[in-house]
Amino acid sequence: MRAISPIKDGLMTFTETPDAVPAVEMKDIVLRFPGVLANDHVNFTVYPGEIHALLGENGAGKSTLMNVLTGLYKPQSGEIRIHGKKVSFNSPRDAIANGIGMVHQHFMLVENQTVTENILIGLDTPRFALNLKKFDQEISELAEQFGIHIDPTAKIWQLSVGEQQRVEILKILYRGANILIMDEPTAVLAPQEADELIETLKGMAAQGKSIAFISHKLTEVKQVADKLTVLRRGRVTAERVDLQDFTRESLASLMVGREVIFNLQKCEQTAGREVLRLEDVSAVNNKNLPALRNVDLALHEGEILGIAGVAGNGQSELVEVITGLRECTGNIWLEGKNIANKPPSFSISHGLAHIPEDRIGVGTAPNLSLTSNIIMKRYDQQPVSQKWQLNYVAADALAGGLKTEYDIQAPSVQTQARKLSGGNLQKLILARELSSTPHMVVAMQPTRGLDVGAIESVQQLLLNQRAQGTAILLVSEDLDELLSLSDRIAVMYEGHIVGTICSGDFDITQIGLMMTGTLPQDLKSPSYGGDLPPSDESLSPSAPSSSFDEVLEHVQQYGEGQSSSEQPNAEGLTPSEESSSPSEKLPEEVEQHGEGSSASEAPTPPEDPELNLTEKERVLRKVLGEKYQLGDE
Amino acid sequence: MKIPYPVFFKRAEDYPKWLPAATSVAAVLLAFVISGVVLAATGADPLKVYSYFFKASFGSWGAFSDVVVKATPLLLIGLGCSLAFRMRLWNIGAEGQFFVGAFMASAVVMVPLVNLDTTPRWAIISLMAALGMLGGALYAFIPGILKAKLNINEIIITLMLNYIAVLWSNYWIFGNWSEAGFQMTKTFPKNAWLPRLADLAAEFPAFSGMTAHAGILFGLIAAVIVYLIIYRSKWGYKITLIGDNPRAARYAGINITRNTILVFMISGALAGLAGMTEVSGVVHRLQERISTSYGFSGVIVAWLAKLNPFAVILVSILFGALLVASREIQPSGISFLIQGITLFLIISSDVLLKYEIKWVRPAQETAQ
Repeated sequence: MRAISPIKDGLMTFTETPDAVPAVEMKDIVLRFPGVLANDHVNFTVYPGEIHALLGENGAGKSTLMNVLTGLYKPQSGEIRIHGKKVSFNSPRDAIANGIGMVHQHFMLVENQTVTENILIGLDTPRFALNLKKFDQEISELAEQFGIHIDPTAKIWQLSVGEQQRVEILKILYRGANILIMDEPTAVLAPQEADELIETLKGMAAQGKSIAFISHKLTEVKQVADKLTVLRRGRVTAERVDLQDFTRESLASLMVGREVIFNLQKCEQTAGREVLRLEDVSAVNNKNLPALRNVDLALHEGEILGIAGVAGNGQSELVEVITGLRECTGNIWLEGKNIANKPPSFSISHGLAHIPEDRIGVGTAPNLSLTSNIIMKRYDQQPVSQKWQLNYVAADALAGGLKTEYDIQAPSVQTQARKLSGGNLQKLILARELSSTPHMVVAMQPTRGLDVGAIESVQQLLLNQRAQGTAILLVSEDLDELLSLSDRIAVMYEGHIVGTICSGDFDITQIGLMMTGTLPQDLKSPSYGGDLPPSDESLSPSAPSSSFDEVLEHVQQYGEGQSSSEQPNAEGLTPSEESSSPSEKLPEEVEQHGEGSSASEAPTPPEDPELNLTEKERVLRKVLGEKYQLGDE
Repeated sequence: MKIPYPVFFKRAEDYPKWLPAATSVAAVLLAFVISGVVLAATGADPLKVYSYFFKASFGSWGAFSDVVVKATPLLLIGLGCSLAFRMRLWNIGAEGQFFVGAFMASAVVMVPLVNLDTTPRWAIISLMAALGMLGGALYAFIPGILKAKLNINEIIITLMLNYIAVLWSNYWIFGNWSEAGFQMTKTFPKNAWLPRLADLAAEFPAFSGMTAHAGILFGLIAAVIVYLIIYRSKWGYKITLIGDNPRAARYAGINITRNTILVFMISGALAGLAGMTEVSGVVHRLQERISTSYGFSGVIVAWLAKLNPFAVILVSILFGALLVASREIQPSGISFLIQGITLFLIISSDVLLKYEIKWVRPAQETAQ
């Protein structure tokens, strides 16, 4: 059997499929919702032992297709074969009986019960008496078989998000699933956890499980999947193709249906006068532990200051003290006024816009209309405000105008916010925050969880603000995003600002080191390139060795996994590396970078006597991922 | 075994605007049908019972006037609860606020705070109304500030405060204010009575004997004001925003602490005013049984009206009618039975708004 992918640009891929019977074969699936053709003659085939990525933008029909497979929806036409046998599911129960299990993005676990108890919920056995010990044993054996590390007696609330996800996986494995559907499993995970998950999935595939991996993250898909099916607006644009044949750009254009510009329009400009200054700001987190320690920062007009750092190093608290949502010590000057410990309304009235990390929990009122969400910060201004009254006509007009201007896809301005997709919700928040002509924007993770098209427009909106002279504080865990948008990058580690780097000196290696707590003065040479600092001076005394070891332990696995896939991936990734690097506009920087990278190659043969150096290099691999690999070549 | 037509509940994205009203009306009608079955089972003729029911509460202007008397406190309390519930503040302490309001209004007469013989009637009544509202508001301030500052559960606090308020009022009517050892105060002088329709009997003979009092006007004015607050004012927008997502409201710069206390106090003030109308308009004294758990019925009224102030007017009149009819029908439990079934059905009818119910035919495999 041969499958042909109908791609316009001639990238036809003929794929030899193994002789085996497909674990899942979905043919000509058509599912129509009122007004939407969610799946239009979609084919989807997965073989045993295969990790098959299902790629597509939000709303492309990925989740719908998988809900058909799990028996949640019934297609209007089309057929499903499981291991060659034709099936028809009337409910999720039927799908489970056929060995299909899905791990949803949002976990369905009981916080106060143990791992074992959660796994047993809903099963017919044990029927009455519960011998937990026996099942604990059974579950740890099952976990061991698939290389999943978990304590079956732990309560769910004690587990990290990554561990909770493992419970969900075990839950479906325990029910005998051999076809696993993972719905954007890495969206909720920290980078390390995501890598661990990918290892686990690969292990399960090696044992014959079939895995459908839903995602819209291009790099991750390249890392994990064997085969790929791409959906766009309910149609298949690439079916069962090999991943090596695609670059990030060509995948993106398959998803979006047009060329995606990974190069943003960023004008050269010099920063103006100072807008924000933090002096000796400290704060505690929700657990009353120090989260910010003596932070000093300055931000100028027309400047984007990126905050880099591994999640949980004080970024959230930094944003909260600036926006008035958290108490702190020290001074925060916005346009010459001290806004520290002032209520949020004070900074809002002084031109501070805030794009919050949690769009649903903080950024919007889900059950209220689009209009109500748009006027959230200006119900007290003309023309929406009319003495004691709220002018709903003016509010609707305002919302309607912004809906068009920011291209928010919604039936009307009366639509409830919770009915918007992630990208449209973020556009709604941006419309509200940016249309108020702020002096300063605090943006936290503005593109997380969005699809490629939406990321592009959000980033461009931020750059447009910069061009208008707005000061922007951009907190992101996506280094690519920081590198391509920021004028300066400040790196946070354990509540400190470890150092600040200007755009001319951006160097991903150095930023990576600083993210693990290395102070910039300990990195010897002024133009670092990829130079590795001498081993004995490389770690600042303030960096606790425990967390460093933690990273290392993980990185060791990472390095092994990476080296094997390095060769085939390299070619496909090269263009993306070029386009996402900020150094493109700065030729001299390219040179520096190149020099540095080649220099780093030399002192790190595996048999290097100085063990620390190798460890250091491994950390770099961890933090920088594929980019570092590429730098090596 | 397979069910031939599996039923699915699918979360409904949207529903037409008329649907909530339609399901509520249908629920009330269905409640009467079910109650009818119960009545028939006890050997009564349901149609006869209903027609008697109707006659007892709407059969004459006199009967309707009694209904209005019962509806007045329910209306005021229901409005207060609607406002608080919009912000997801579960004030179930209206009963207590009602008693404190009644106590404060009575204090005007019992202390007395003014010279009852020389002060004009309108001034006494205004003072009583003002103090009644103040009493309810201050009593609701307690759970308000505890909730706002310390995030203490308002349900427990308001519930407990109910008992304290009733006992406080009992203390006075059993003790200092007791009239000749009975558990009630002396009758208020006419100067402290809210005007009744019967007072106009001289000019309009039709009004003679009608007990409906001016309290209903307070209720109607309050309904308009609460409507304007919720649907027209900026403050109402803030309340709705806090109710839907307090974290978003805080992010948008809204002072949640202040608004929590304020909404609690207004809710309490309306319940306090209800207490004042009851002592000044109906019983004309402070006594033990001034409330047939109006405070709790008011919660139900607000809920059945889906927090819409104008719907509160209709629902409180319906509840007033049931209360009046229960006096006329033996056993009086029948009207409470109908009340209970109605409440149950209206609340469960919400499922029709939130879900679409689908019958899926498993016949499609062959019909491709």
